[in-house]
Amino acid sequence: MTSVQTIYGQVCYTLCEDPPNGLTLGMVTLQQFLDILGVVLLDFCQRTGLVKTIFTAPIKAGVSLYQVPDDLMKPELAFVSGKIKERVTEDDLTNGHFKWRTENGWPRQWHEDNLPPKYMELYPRPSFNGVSYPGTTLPIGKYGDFFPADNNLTMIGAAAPDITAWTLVDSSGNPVYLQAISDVFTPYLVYGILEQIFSADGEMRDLQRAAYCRTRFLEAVTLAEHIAREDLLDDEDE
Amino acid sequence: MPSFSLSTIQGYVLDRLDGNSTLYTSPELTYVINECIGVISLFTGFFKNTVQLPGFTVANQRVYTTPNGMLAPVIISFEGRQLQRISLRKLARARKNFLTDNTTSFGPPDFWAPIGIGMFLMSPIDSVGGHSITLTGIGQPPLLVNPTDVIVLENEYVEMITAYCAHRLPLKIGGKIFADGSLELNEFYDKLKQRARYETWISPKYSLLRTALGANSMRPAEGVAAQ
Repeated sequence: MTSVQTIYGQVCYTLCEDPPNGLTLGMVTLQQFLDILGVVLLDFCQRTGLVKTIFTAPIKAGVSLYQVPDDLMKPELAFVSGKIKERVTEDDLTNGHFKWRTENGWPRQWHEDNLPPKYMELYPRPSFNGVSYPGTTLPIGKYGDFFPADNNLTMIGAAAPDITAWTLVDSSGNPVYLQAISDVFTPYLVYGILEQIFSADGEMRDLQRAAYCRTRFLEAVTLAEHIAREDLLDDEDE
Repeated sequence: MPSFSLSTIQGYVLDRLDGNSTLYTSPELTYVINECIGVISLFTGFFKNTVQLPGFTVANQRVYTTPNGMLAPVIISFEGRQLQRISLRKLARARKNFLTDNTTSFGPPDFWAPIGIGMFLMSPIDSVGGHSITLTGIGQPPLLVNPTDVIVLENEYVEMITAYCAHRLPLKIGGKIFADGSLELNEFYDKLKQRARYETWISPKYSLLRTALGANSMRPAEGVAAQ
């Protein structure tokens, strides 16, 4: 696993600074680097979705809206009691079922449009309670499996980075590692960070190098998309 | 197949950079060489890996984690029998009870579905456990750390690594020197393209390679070279 320190070291080298001493010239600060790292990592995870998260949330009778946890970028598949549900739009529901908002029963479809961010809605509204899970702080649910016997809602989507405020080392002084990204892609994060540094208004501004770094970052996105498409295999199954 | 130590590859790279080991320090060279091996592996899938996991399955476990060292599994065999790959969406539609159907009632697994690159499941679910599986796919290339660390590579790859490093390392300088390096980048992508074609030919199962070989993934780099 690649550490934040490794990425930092590479950025230092490219900015002609000495990694053991860090960014000392003052043209880019450590905090700027960490902020940019967060943005670039989030962007990469959002565009590629190589690593998925499985989250199962308890279903409550009469509740149709369910919150998507922060560490799941966007739900791609939804299951109720381990059975896949069709993804539709609110338009489809309105045109297909005139009184869809008042119907109760076993959910058959879901949508996420015309809702607050990070919410999904089941149709029909569940008429049963699933097994409840312990916990008081959101998101309440379980990760890593479908738990079909629990009669709950399982969502699968791209995993978000597990940290939002990045540091070089944690509170115990141990290196912080990048969890949501495979090692072979981490060099490309350096290009994403350098693109932001070279295109920002400041001493380091260099549009030629910014364009190059952007291209290399997009190269990673393209490659990751190819792999993700292979994994989803929605176009063609072998 | 020839093998090369890290110090040998560093020497080849420095030869292309006027031997300037003061500007391009050893840790920097090491990082960029490893970066290049990763890039080549992603484009061509040359570093294929087979992981055998005896007694891997757990009774009634649905989701398995991809083992370390495997970037993207392409083929999975259960007790020596190759499973058919299918998307999770299609599996869920084709087998409504795919999360509860097990090998006791439905016989040995015949499908596997990836969930991203980090997880996968097999259908029907193994209700006994302790069975062996074999994963073949694109592996994580080995990381070169010490000067004596060795990687087994064809000569052609070493040329690609030196071309890549000769272009990438002057990024710290910028300006004309860096821009001139775009010729090296063109050389790198040309060789990469040829190599990817060859790898696709010898491993047609890896359809990832066919897509990565497409013109789209080459276009951005050519755009840079044209600047």
